[in-house]
Amino acid sequence: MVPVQHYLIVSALLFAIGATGLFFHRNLVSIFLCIELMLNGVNLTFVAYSRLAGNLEGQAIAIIVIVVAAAEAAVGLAILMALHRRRETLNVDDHDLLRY
Amino acid sequence: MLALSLRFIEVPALESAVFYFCSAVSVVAALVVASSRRPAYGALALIVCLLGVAGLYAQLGATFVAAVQIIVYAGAVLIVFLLVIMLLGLGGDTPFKDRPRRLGWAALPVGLVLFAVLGTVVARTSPTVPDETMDEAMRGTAARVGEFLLTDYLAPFEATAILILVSLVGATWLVRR
Repeated sequence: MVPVQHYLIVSALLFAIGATGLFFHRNLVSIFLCIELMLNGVNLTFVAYSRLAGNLEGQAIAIIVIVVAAAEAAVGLAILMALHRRRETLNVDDHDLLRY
Repeated sequence: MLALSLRFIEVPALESAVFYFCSAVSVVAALVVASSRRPAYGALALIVCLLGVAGLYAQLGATFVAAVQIIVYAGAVLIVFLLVIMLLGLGGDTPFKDRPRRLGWAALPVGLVLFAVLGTVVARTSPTVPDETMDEAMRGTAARVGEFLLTDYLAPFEATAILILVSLVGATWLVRR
């Protein structure tokens, strides 16, 4: 069988790619997509360690992370739409004030 | 139903082939997400990446998590992303000008260092490798994971229920006219 370490390496790769994209992009939507990518890498780690440990805790945590990611996407996209309504731009460099 | 049909992936002879296929698909799609200038293409590539990761979950025996990943994540959350991209008009004829930041290419060494650190941590963990065949008691079916969530993990489970209710009400309030 494939060793569990290989799954962990894939998840580390996904997390690193997501972090790279997070620093690379200036568009808020792309930054959000990269955050989802990083969440996925972490989730894969949880499930792989659940397989190693031989219990279901990692899978339960993965389900909870998916729910939290859904909540985060809902609030984040709402904030993003409100920002776009104010300024007509989604460039993070243009949203550098802590007030409207 | 989906969790049951995902078990066909676990043919032992095909296991490494399926693993390398799924991980290659998800890593390539992740690279497209991280580098694409148009958010619409990035969202579509992220859907492909999520499907690849779902295949990896199924291979690890977490069939319920794989089904949830496909139904909730790729099926609902990413569609909301695409709807927002469509509403804001970021994916159409006028390409969104997402020039990389002035020091944008500095992200590349940061990512490489991060992967080196994480890979070292992974390589240094030498846990007990489970036996060749996964015993049936460990398989994360919907019934088993559901029972676990509603007994041992009841408090976090109910907390996420409250969290998603609050966040959806808040999101509705934020986008009001």
